[in-house]
Amino acid sequence: MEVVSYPNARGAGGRIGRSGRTEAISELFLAHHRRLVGLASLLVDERQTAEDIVQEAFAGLYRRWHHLRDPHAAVTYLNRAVVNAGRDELRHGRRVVAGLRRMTPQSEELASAEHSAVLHAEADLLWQVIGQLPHRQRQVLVLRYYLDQSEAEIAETLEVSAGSVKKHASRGLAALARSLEASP
Amino acid sequence: MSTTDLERRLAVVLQRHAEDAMSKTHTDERLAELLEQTGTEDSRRRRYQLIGAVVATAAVTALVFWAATRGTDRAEPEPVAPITPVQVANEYLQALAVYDLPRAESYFSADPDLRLWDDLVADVAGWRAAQAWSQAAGFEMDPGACKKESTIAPETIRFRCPYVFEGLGSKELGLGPYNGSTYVVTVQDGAVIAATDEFAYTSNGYNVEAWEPFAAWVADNYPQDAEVMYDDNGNQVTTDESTALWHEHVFGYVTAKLAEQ
Repeated sequence: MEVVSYPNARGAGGRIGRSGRTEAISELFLAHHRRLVGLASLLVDERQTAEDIVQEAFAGLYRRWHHLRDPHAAVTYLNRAVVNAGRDELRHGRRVVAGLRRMTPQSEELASAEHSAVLHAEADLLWQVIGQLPHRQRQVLVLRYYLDQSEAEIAETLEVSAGSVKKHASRGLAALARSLEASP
Repeated sequence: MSTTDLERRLAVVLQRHAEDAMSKTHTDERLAELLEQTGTEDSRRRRYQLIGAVVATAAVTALVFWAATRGTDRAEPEPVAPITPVQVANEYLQALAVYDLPRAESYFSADPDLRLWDDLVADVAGWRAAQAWSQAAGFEMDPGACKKESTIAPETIRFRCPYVFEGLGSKELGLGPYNGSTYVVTVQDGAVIAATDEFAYTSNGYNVEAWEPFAAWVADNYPQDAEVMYDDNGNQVTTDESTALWHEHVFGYVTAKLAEQ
């Protein structure tokens, strides 16, 4: 399905020239924009920031178009650009955003039924803890459990060793488990 | 809680959060912004290149060079090849699969003949409501390639587009995907004039594995909501109120079932 697969770039990377590049980028945008917004939304704390990160990733791809190795490299580039930009954003903006988020009122819908509220509260808690994880742990968990990437694929995306991926995944899951167990 | 259980719940939470963000973005508008931005950057870059040339060479030569380059820059963009009928059908399905409704609607003719599950006729507003419900209920369509079924007229071609799907949390619960469904899409003069969803649900196990268990769970746990979510025949209701309940209860259903496993 859309969020876990990597459709190829439909030959877009082989095109050269201003209008060819624009057409190819447009095709890639239509094919991957929503998926990347979804991915970015898991890596930063605000949706608008996620949208901006994706936009900048495509603008960067446009500027580097002639340096791409092959059509598939475009999608790899976009994934990596979004993940890295998400990390940079968290490094610079986390403290302010975390403070703002606590002031955001809860949706009334979430409190509609007692049982439902418990389930949603657990999901909310899980999401809150994800947001508090060290950025590398958060990246690894998102790539593993949202994009369904293997350890090797995550290592390639993040440009770290497979052992490092395993360590961050293990620590991230342990942190989530501790938080859920500690919740009332 | 076991690690496997935690991993499943984590996947569900991530999926829901990402879907929420994806449903709020506007791909067409953002693409237009990107094209405007990159076009502006190109113009600026060309200007800087020209300034460099002026500094490096004699003024007269530079002016000649500038004029020549400006002429090249003003060349018309290469024409884009017209989209073929099968591309229209495929692109329509691809847009539908990611719930990019403005993009999907851009392929419609002025008055398309749209038929939902069980050959239910819908106008465009009804089609939108149906898509909103499908997304809320967690339906994910994975379309295959459209193939020509028949040529009705020289400019009117009907395609059959098979697809597999997941829904009502089937993927998270380790069920599905469910095959056997087909979109029948008729394209005329580059636009979709008819689209029928031949939705398979009894032959592929979906009814037994997903639909009925979810309906029973809602009836047991939220009987009042069930009256809003289902009509008298047991079919889904696609009003805004109902769709919101489907979204909430599919999430709760998946979480509850995962907790039982």
